[in-house]
Amino acid sequence: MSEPLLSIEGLEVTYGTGRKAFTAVRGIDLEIGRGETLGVVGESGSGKSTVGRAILGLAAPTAGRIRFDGQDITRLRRSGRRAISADLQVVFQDPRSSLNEAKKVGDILIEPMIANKRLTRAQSIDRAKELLVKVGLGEQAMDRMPGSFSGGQRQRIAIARALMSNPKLVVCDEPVSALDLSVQAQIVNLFRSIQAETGVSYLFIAHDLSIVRLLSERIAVMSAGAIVEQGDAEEVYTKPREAYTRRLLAAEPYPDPAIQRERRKAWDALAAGAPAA
Amino acid sequence: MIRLIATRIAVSIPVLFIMTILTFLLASLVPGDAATQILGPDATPERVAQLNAELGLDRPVLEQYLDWLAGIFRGDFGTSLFSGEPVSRLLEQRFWPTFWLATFAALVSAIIGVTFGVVAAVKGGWAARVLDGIGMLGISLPNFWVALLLIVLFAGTLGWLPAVGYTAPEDDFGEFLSRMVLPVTAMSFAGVALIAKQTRESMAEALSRDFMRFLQANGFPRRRLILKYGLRYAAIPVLATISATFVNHIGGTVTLESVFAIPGLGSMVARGTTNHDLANIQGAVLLFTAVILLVNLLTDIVYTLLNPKVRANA
Amino acid sequence: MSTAVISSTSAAAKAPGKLRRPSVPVILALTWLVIAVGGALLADVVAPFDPLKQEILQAMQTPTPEHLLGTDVLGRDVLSRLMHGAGPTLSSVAVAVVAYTGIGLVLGLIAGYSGGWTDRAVVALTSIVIALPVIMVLFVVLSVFRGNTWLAMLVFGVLSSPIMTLLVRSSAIAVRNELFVDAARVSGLSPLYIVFRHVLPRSRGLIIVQGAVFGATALIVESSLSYLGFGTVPPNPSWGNMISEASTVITSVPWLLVPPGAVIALTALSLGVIGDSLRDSVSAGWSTSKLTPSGRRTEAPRVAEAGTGPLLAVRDLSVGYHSAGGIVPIVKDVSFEIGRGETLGLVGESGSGKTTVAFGVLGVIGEGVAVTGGSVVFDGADLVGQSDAVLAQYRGKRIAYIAQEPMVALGPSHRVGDQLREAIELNDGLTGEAAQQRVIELLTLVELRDPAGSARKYLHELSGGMAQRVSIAFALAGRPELLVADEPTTALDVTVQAGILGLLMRLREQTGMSVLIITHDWGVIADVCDRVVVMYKGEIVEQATAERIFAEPQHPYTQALLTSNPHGAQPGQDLPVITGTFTTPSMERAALAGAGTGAAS
Repeated sequence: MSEPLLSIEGLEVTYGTGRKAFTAVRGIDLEIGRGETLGVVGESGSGKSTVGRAILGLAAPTAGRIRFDGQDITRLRRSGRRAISADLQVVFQDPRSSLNEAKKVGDILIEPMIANKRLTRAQSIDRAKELLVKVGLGEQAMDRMPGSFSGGQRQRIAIARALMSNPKLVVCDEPVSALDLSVQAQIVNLFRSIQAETGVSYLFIAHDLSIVRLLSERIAVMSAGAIVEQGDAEEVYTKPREAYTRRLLAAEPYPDPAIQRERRKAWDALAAGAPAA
Repeated sequence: MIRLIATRIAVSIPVLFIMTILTFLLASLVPGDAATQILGPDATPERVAQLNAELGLDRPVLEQYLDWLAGIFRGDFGTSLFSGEPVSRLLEQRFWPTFWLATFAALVSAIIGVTFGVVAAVKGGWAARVLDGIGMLGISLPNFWVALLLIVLFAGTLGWLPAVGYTAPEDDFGEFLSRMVLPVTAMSFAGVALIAKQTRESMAEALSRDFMRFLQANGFPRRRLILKYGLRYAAIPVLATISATFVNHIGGTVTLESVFAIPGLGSMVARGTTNHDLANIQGAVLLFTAVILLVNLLTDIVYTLLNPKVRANA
Repeated sequence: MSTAVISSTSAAAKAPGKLRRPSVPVILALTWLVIAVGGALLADVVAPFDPLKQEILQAMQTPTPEHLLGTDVLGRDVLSRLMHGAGPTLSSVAVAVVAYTGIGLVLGLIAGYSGGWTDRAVVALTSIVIALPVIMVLFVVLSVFRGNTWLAMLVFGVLSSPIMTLLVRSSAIAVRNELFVDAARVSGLSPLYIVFRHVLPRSRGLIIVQGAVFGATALIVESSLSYLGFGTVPPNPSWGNMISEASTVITSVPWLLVPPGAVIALTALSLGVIGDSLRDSVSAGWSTSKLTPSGRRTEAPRVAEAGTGPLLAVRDLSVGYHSAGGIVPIVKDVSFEIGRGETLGLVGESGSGKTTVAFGVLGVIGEGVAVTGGSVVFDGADLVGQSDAVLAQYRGKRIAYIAQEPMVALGPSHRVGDQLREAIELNDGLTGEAAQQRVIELLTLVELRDPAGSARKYLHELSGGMAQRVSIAFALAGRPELLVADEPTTALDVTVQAGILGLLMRLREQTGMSVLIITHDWGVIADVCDRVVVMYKGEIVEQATAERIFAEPQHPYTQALLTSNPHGAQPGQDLPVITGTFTTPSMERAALAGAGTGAAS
């Protein structure tokens, strides 16, 4: 087997120093192959977003190593970041804050390309139009402001921005958590069709196992800054090995009253020993 | 809490020193001017040099400064160049009129400003727009001009109040109050506007918080939500504005005491600046600085008491 | 959801960086500033008289056709003096504003964007400078450099600049923490690029506002100095020294006070008006109050005997908010009932109006939103439009509420135990020791591990799950018959959600209360509800028992919503998605009416 696209060994991120120091994640080992999707699942405070931010260079690792596409990117300087930024992109959770409200959609897409001298202005405009069509918004979105789009549409714009440079890996940090159920389904499908077409890899971060398993070949479950279980997506979802994963699965209510009644009983039995939150 | 006070004092001490250096060194940039001032432009250079020597103005600046600083620690602020009186005695005499003026004005501004602000926030609509208008006027009208108009109207045309002058409260309390009315009114104008505006903004912010709806839905009466939970939520920025208003008022005493002929620190600064009486200015400015730092310290302490988040960390 | 609708439309209308068309006051203010600056620049050409020319015989005149603003003590033309006095006054104000804005902008952007030690150094410097008594420093400066107003105003601008620095800094920090800046950093863009392309445009409004307001302050300070005789030296005019000269003759010619005072006031006012209107157009505007004003009705009309019929009957409830174009409906003709001891789920996506229905039932729809029709009949009495005095018998006592965001549900500045005790005193009639005991009892009932310890805490010291348990204790204080729970677990982790829903079900068993639960999550519906109401675009499209809605959903929207749920989906296959729009009851009625009158084409 050739080298994976991304490999992380022993990653640790500590925020702050001295008395206020807080270790968000430690001992993280992960790999993502080319064209593969790794799902990372955890509750708030589990450190799942920190892993994504460390890969993107937005959080500084205090220990461990991150290799991307054959290169050590653990502590890249800005010029190094710029060099790999074409291959490594991001889609964030909050579609409101992830687009600059004061700029036209077209400018949001083409500015990074021009600033990094990746494409000429004309080339970037063509590319932006092509992508806006691909994500289902159409070329006329170029001249509109982000404020005139709904949450789901804004997420499509954010996806188009990530795809501008034809990346090898996109870190998706809870990209559908803020969306309505119906919109969520559309965005999940969009992620899937883009992958089928371009062979891009995803690191798909979410708190919802039932969403993550739809897109992922493998899933890592995180709790309190560490990975508690990692394996084939269907195995983790249907035959979890760790007690924490079982708790997480049992807690998710199932949209069917008869099934949910049974699950509720099972949860009550599980929770009897655990402390109240 | 103690750490916070310590930090604030740690900032205050350099501020006081900067002020002593500023006042002193700036003053010494033009040596000999004082002697020329006293003797007039026709004095012979010998006479000027002699007076400079008498006043100690011919020594190195650093030496003069350290001497002066040492004097301040003993309560000796030097001697007024013109009246020949010790500056410390002048400061003592002139402190109270200024204190009463600034304090009354701050109280009046706070009471009226907070009331206006709360009413405008709760009523909204036209009340808020009227307040906006008043507020805008309040900060646009120069206080000395308002003071002169008040004198024309209430002392001149109507003859209800004395125009200028000051009576100490211990001499004649009624006279003291009647002479305070116009200067306090002129001074409070801007303060009322600023405090009302801040109160309205903070109060509107408080009313837009989710907990207002939660508590109202669970049976808390509206009046209690506004007056207890709303005011408490709005307290910190409003307090900051009141404190800033007090500091502004201290600056305002310079003009208003001159308009109303009040023998306070403000008119002492104004006269000192005209006469080039540096000892007077230095003393008054230092005392003002100390008062302002004290007000800021008190504000910080009240802040900490009001804000559970800061209190927990301090 | 009503507030979400309003805030999103206003946010769209006021995208940062976009300024609206100027209003009438702004146009007037700009006009005045142009006149003032123009008069100052062209004083030599357009001023009718030499400002220094004395005509003792014509001294102290009120306005005449020759001297439009009258003459002063020495018979000089007031209008000409005002024009010539504008130059020194306005130019020294400009000096102050440039220093203030320039220093504040540079230091603020550097500190705010770079953070770390640079930020700490700038903050330390500003906190020292901000504590200096600026006006006093000015007098020291003026006593040394006599009559040098420009220098004094430069010092004033410099020493005031920390205020601008801190404002720009916090605006830069706010922008820096936005995800779009993270996205720019991921693309390897340089800090300078990010500051100029992303941070500065967002702070621009703030800078103009602050600069304008400071200009007004600087003008007042300059005229004070010049009134006291530290500015332009007579006989040359400045606005301040003209007031000073006028003040010597206020008893004989009070008129002379008016022209110079008025031009100072007008100029300051114009700067203030421009600043204020800009602030309104760059900020999101006034936040709407969440406190609902009292209704006018003082007696709850009996629709049915108390104790008979359903506990709650909502009939044709319509809610809308006021906008420039009239009332915009949020909820249209909603009708449903809740029986005693029943749990009803209200399900819908964002914008469906489900939360507005909950607020309508509670009578807390907030300001700017109004019930436009229908009734909310609780135990036989219609509560719509009732005064606070009538609703006091219901709110908290018979109908209680828990909210979506437990971390902002209670007041942040009072201990949770004290607030809970207040709720008990208001709604359960207990006082003193008994009320205190009941606090602990309720906190134990909601299964908090350390009830006494939690009571002493402030809201921010609790976790989300703990805070929601405290909210539930709050709601239970008045022993209500109906609990309205608006997305009570949406903000919580899934394991915490399971605990809270379990608690709600146990409490329902113990107390026999009815529950109206609002949610977007079909899993929550399956977990706790007896019956379900489905909302779409402000209307009810379907209601049925929980069993039936999952087994045989009738309305196409319900069917679509259920199938887009990821639980039933197969990995590796596309999720079924909702496309297009669905017919609502009001659309059907409209179509029918159209067909009936033959107007359909």
